[in-house]
Amino acid sequence: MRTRRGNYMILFAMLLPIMLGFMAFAIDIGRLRVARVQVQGAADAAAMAALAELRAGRGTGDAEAAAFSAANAVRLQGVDSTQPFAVEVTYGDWDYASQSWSSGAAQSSVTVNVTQVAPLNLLFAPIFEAGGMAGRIYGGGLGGDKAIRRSLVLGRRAAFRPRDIVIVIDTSRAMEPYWDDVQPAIDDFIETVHDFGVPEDRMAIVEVAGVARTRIGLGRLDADFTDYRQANQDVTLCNVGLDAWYYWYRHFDAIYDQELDGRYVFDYRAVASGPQPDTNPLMIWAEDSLEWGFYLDSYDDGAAHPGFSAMSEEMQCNATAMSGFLFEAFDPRRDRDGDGIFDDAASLIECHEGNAMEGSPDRFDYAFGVPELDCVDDDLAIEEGISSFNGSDDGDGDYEYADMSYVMAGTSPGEGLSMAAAMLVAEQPSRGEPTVVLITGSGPHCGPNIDLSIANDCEDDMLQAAFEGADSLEALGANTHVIAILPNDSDDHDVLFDLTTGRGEYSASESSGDLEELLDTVARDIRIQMVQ
Amino acid sequence: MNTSLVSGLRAIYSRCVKRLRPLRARRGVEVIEFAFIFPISVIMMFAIAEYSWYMFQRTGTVDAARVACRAAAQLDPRMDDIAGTATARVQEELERAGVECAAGCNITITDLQGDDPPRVVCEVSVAFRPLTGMLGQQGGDGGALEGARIGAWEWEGVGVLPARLRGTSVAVYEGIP
Repeated sequence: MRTRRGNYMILFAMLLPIMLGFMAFAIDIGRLRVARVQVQGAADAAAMAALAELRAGRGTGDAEAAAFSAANAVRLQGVDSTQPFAVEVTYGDWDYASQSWSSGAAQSSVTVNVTQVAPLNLLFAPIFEAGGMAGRIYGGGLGGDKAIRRSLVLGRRAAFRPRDIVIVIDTSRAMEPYWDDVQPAIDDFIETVHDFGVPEDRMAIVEVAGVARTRIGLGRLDADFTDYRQANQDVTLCNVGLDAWYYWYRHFDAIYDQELDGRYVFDYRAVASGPQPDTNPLMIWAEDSLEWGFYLDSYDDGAAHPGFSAMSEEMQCNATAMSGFLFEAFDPRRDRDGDGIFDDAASLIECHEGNAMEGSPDRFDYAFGVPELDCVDDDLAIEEGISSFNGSDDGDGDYEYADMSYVMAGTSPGEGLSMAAAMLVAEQPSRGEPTVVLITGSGPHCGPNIDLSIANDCEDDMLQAAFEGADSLEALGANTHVIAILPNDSDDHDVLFDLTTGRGEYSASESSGDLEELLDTVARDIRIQMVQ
Repeated sequence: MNTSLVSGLRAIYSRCVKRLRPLRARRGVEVIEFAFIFPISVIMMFAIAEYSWYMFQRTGTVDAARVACRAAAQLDPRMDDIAGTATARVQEELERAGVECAAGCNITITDLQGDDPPRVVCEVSVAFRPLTGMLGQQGGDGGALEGARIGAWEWEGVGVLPARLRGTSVAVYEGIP
């Protein structure tokens, strides 16, 4: 009986270590949970920071330094703060399709393992560490060995997000002064995206001059890299040679002569008295746009003229371009004193009897206003191509021109953006972030011969048109970069505006700089995301 | 028959009495043992509960900072209200985690979009309200010093748990500011 005395005491004494152990276990699990959250947070920040450095074009040394400082910006609470986190960065590629990582020379993805060097203050760990359970509690880093560690190691993998980039190139006359710079800059851009981005980056090139056309559709850039570079090289200014203009003019004259009872396509006199869409159904201003889109909607239903629709894309481009010139000549902005009479148009009419010479090839001289404009007003001279304008009749009813350099086309950035939007919408859902780069310009004049004080209005209108075309892109949440090359009235330097949008919305942050630099910035505007 | 029954009952009785006597004696010892052990057990159980509550609250706070910072980093700092969004997200996450903000939450969002790398720092500090108060709270940081307390007894100067819970997180912007 004596031996049974103190039962509870003995039992309690035996159970106490176990109870204390479980108590420590409960406390340790809590501590580990908090520690894991914090070390994981450090690894997240480190991976993002390392990739942000690479995105900014800096080297691996900077990336590692940034990763280290980002990881250590969050110090673990209740841990020896004199021992910073150890950060290990490895570089590679992330394949989104197979969700796999491969280390290598590519630097579109990083894996960062953060080691919490200072030992965690754990109550329970020493008891079972020898038993091999510690490793399971602590976990291992990403891609590293899963060895049992005394310290907490957690990893994070981040990668550039792939993009679906549509480059919209304005090929209108407005771009002519800059054209020599534009193509090499775009070439560099394609190369940078290719070298810098992820393998899944896709690209398309759209050209726009009056109407938008797809030069090359959306496809993997890594697979068809040379095709995309070549497509860019193939883009040319919408070259409305005199022959095209002549052809087009004749073509429509014929249609309208038949269908509209002998009325001329271009009734300059009617237009000259003011923009009167009602009385002059053949030439209607596109009100919301600077673009002098040729609306052959002389019929009530507002549909394009069947003759226009039947033309090839190239001819539509040319037709629109030509209408651009004609509308431009009667641009209301030319009515500087606001008396309803176009200052320059009056002189245009005066020296140009084009309609009176219906059927005569000479009327094209007048339609161009070529020699006459020069004689009336130097400001109205269309410098390029005019001096070498030499038409000759070889008797086949067509005209041969010595110089085809005269180019003229209306810009319509909104059209280009709409096409880009349609292209991107058709791809949804896509892993790629929808991105549009529009490179457009206002010529040295807002079209030929409009002086700069007026050109300022043109800028607004042009941008306005672009904004309207971008509505659907906004709905898509696309990144839309509008790079507008605008004339600088002080010297012959071009001023570049990068109207970089935010995600889905325009902000008018202005920056000026070199076209190449702006495009480089766009090429590096990649989102980073955590992938594993 | 009768005698055998009587003797049998007696035998059972005597056995029971013999057994009961030492039992009565031991009961006193057990009560004393129990009186020693029970408070210790209760204290341990309450301590575990209290500490678990503290960990639960602390994890919620740290998580709120982390989640809010990640959400903020996905925004576009060029046009979105970073601080406002992150603050709202912290509050939402705290509520979801069951961390009461009534006693006072300090939420500091530092938008470092101009720094290299561009990032946002989220700091959350919540006044910790203990479950039973039996582990006490450390003073300072605006928290009143409270001693460990069991019922009406209080031990001044014994504070195991902190007065405030803190969570800090740094997130690098996904896009380019």
